[in-house]
Amino acid sequence: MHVSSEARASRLTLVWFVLFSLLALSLFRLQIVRGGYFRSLSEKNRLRLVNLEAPRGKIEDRNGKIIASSRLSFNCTAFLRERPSRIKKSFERLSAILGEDVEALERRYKKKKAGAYQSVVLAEDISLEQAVAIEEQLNLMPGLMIETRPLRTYPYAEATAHLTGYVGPQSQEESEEAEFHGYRPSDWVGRDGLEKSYESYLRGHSGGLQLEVDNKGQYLKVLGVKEPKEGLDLQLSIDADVQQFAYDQLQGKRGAVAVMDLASGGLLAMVNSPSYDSNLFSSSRGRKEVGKYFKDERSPMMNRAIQGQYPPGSIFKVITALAALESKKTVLNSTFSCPGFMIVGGKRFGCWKEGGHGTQNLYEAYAHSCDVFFYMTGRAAGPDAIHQKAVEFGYSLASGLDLPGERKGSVPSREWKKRRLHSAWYDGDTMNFSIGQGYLLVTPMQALGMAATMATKGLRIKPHLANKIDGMTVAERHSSPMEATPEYMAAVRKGLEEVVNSPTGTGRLAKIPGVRVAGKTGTAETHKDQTHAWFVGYAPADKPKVAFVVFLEFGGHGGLEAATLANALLLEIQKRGYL
Amino acid sequence: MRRRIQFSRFDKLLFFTPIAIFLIGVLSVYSASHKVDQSLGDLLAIRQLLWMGIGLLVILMVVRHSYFRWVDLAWPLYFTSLFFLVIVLFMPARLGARRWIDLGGFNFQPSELAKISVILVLSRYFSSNRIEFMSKGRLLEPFLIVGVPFLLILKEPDLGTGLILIPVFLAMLYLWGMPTRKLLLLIGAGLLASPVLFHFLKEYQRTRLLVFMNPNLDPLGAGYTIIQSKIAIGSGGFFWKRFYGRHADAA
Repeated sequence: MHVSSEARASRLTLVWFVLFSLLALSLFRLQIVRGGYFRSLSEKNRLRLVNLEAPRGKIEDRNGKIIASSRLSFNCTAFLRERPSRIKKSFERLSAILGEDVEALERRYKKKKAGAYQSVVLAEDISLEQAVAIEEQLNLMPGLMIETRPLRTYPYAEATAHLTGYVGPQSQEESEEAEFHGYRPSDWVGRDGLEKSYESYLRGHSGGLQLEVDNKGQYLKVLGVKEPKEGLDLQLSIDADVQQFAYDQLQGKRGAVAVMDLASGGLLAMVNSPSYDSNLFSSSRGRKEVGKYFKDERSPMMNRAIQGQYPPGSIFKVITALAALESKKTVLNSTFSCPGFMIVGGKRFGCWKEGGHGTQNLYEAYAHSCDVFFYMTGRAAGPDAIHQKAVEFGYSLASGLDLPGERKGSVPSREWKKRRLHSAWYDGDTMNFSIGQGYLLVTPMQALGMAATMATKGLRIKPHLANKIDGMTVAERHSSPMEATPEYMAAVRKGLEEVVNSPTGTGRLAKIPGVRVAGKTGTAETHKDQTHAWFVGYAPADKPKVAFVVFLEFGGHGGLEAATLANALLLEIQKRGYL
Repeated sequence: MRRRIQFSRFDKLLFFTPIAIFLIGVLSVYSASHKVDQSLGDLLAIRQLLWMGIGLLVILMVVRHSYFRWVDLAWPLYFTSLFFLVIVLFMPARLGARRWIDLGGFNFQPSELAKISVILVLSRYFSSNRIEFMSKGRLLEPFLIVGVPFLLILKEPDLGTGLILIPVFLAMLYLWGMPTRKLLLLIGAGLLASPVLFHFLKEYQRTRLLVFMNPNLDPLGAGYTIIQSKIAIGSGGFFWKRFYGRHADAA
């Protein structure tokens, strides 16, 4: 079939027409159908978001001394949107300023695939000089930026670590949840301690800058600013000097010390040892080191004061005697004779003093911490009464301190033993229970609570750390009276005074000049050879102002190591005018 | 055969359409590339206008002659362009290719001349050889005419310019009178061979083709330009983008 060249020419025109129609069609698709999508992409193309992280609120001690604050730090960051060839040149310049390998910078840049309009941190917490040097050459280093970020610092570091806790980045799942509360994925949050329990007050509200940039990624103008809002300040009942002193006294040994101001229920000090440097958690660089804390078998991350559960030993004799007296199983002038041991159920229960104490009344028994006296007393009272009295004093209950992760310890009972150990309660169990051994486990904070209750003649005082938030008083003394016969209470209090003030008292090392101290030593047996050393007490004995607990894990004897530390602590508290 | 320009016979549409397109182009270049504190001479748009002026002068010179005269020059132009296409291969490489001959501040690209001369030579050839009277063996001649410059251009390499010759050649074959069936067979054979030819391409040419099909394969590398272009065009919407409106990376 022959087709004329004219016809072929017009057919060819038709082909061109169809092809151009296709072009028009795809333009229609691009500009009209998907126009909105591309418009939003285009907007983002010229926008850059700079996150302005808000500083967290400060944490101060009762005298306004800074325990936690935020210091301005400089990060060198890079935008992911920059072209690879360009950013490479920037890295070469940057490496000269920072003295770091180009490869190391590139690795950090490539590692993070965050949102396209977010920046990646290349170098964290660089010096002011370096930041200025980079800022000056920014026009030669497209894609880079200096961002400032508040870095959490803790001047007392280890001494306050278990109070403050630390901050850290959110996990993936958390950040999804936290977005509802106005957090950004990059925001750091309180991870432990007060930083965690007061997170909602301490947290700052991040702001940001919306920058317009040109096609080279260079800053043109600020389109919008959202000012970051600083978090609220927290004022504690803690005296940072006492805190530091107590921490120094522990000398890195395992243990905990806490002091309560009885007038308010606020803690003057609460230290744990071994401790950790909470500053390390504040920066990504430091975070590389913190693994050592979690691997350390001495558990420096553990807040022993509220999370450690230990047998209380003889300090529990306060409960045993009160239980027996209140249940009318013994009377105030009951005396028991101590030959140095006691046979119960065919088993020998020794007194810590092998030769025995001879005849002991209540006060002597406290002063000498005579085990046999309290075996007798405990057996007279029975496990139910002891259990009840222990719970009344707050054992097996959370103290309610404003820190996360508090443990409750455990107070055994007949039911408890049946439930947990599927075994009946024996007299031998009562023996151990009476002198604070066996299944009984308490936290140092609970021991402090007992001391406070004895000091106040029967008030259960809820301890706290935070006094004020943003200048507003949030903590008032929260106490509830317990049922206690005043004369029994007075008798045990007199016994506790004897512990320190009798020439033969087990706690006589804790004695300080000028102020009469009351207390109780405890030397708790453990599964190891070493014993736990306890000393709890209050001062002044007649009108108590403070209660305290000294606990040394595997730390020797209550009357020696713990009482010596308590003595130093009391002198310091006295010097600071708290007695 | 000089004659005065006769405005009545002047194709005004053909003249003003490119000028209008050109002016839009100049404005776009200005909108996209101007900077603050830039002297007039540095403006890309001004330089673009300068080229437009030169182009207009060339048009005025060219239209004074009947375009049929250019067909007389077809073969000399063709061999000249072949000559330069060979010469250019000995020029220093720029951006990884040897496409330009430096004539002192002015770059001459022989493949551009080759495009026109191939069209002229083919027109001349087709008009003096009717397809009905061609022997089978002689049918290869037009393929040879296109093939030699085509391969030379690919050698530079300048795949883009080379490929343009293919639809031009096909259209001319069609107008010459080649049976549609044969043409379709030709296109089909070419498509079948393309996967094989694909492997003869250089690495970057291959990625460029792949990225053309799917720009998101390498959004910050080879696909960057395409993605950004799509964003620039797409965001224009029905009323286009306002003049001066900034699409960050559209430049």
